[in-house]
Amino acid sequence: MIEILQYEFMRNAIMAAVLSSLICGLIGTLIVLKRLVILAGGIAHAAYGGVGLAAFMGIPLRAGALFFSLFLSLIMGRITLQKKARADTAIGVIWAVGMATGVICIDLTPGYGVDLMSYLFGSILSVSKIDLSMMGTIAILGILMCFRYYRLILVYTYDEDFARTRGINVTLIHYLLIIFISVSVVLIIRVVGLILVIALLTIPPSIAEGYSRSLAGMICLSSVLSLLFSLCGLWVSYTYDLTSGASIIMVAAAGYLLSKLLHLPCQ
Amino acid sequence: MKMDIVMENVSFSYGNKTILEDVSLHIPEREFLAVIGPNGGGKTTLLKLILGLLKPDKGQISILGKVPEKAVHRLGYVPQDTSNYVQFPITVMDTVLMGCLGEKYSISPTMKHRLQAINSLEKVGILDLKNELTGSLSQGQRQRVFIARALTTDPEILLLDEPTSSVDLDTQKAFYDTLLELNSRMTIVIVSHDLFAVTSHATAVACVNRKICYHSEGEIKPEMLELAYGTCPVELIAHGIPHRVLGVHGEREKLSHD
Repeated sequence: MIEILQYEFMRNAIMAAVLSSLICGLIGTLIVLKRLVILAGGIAHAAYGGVGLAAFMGIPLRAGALFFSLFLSLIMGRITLQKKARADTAIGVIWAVGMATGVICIDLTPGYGVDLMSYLFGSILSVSKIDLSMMGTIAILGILMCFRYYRLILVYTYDEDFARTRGINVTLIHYLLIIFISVSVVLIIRVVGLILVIALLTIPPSIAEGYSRSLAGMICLSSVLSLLFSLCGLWVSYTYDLTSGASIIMVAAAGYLLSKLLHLPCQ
Repeated sequence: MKMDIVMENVSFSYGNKTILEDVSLHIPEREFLAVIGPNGGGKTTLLKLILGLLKPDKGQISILGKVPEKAVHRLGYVPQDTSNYVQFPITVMDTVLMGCLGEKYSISPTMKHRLQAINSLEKVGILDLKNELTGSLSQGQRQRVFIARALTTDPEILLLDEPTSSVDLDTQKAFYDTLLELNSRMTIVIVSHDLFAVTSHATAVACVNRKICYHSEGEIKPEMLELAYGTCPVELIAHGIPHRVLGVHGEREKLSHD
């Protein structure tokens, strides 16, 4: 087991697992409690549109993904804030259009051969130092913000209307959260890919929810679970030579099933 | 008499759907106002306009002599209980401590805030539940948590949105007794689709169904029922109205069944 640590890609992968788990625990908890899961899904798929556009225009793929999902996420953020009755439908449309944009742009880009598969399914084994430093920055920023504004985040997540009656700028918090989700999702795509990112964002918090007594507790427990799943998945992937992203999600799903089974007798 | 809430010719619509039309309402200090009416009639909208959560399309609203946004920190708001509150991991104490938040706030609650929260929990009689999870409580208990949270803001007006829907009768009675006690210190506006439960305690009743019908005694007037349930031929025999108040069955049945 220890010998795999002598490979640099493995050390990077483990570091990526740690950082993405911190981000997932924080962002995942907020989107699950705030019911923004579909928005996160929309952002992830919109990112593919950005990848396609970037390939077509010949700019860095990561930057394309980031800006395109930021742009669409702000539109989706506006839709969710207004609580239009069909917000989820509108997000579903943006989700699909984002993805289709990507596919068509790739079609139109002649001789394009870069690893698009790594965007779909992730490649934690090939994360670069730049990926790691970006993840690290976002993780640290997220944790600091969460410490500083914990009570505001709590009341915003729990009861938006009440927060407004206390004179709290809910709109600002909402958009900041959306931007943060956007950046985080694009970074975590690196680990499990855009198709599977939703699972990594939602499974740990939905397990943690049943065992937590506070928002902070749920964030911490989600992060720990996320790390556990990521490392186990990585080990499974290494041992049986399977795709890392899918292995991580399968381990997480097994954990989810186990927690539901353990919870059954209590209910 | 000092007026706490003044609404003049207020209209509000969501898109093309008019929710409130030309509504005027004057609520004096220490009133216990019951807002009744059918679902979708605009009760919650009225409350949100008072709280400044929604802006009227037309008309003026003045709360404690100011525009709603400037007065909102002096109002206590008790929201409708929804399933979202049930799943959230939070203790009763932490829920009530949200009442200490304002434009200025400390990173963590101070000792003074904790005492304030304990005091509010005591007032609504659930101090012994302070370490429980809010989501694990019964609906009646959870409503008390939300009232305690609103009291922690030290409000001059307390606004409650459907606080007793699907709560049993005994709980309901205890709940209204608590409100009556609070009424000696603050104005209370309570929204309910439960016609008669509220009216035995209220000092005024307003029926909202796009238009408003206000009566300054805690009594339901036939015209309110007409406004609220005009197209539904219900026979009502209740206190205050010991006779058939609406059309006889059959007369308007066509209307209500199409």
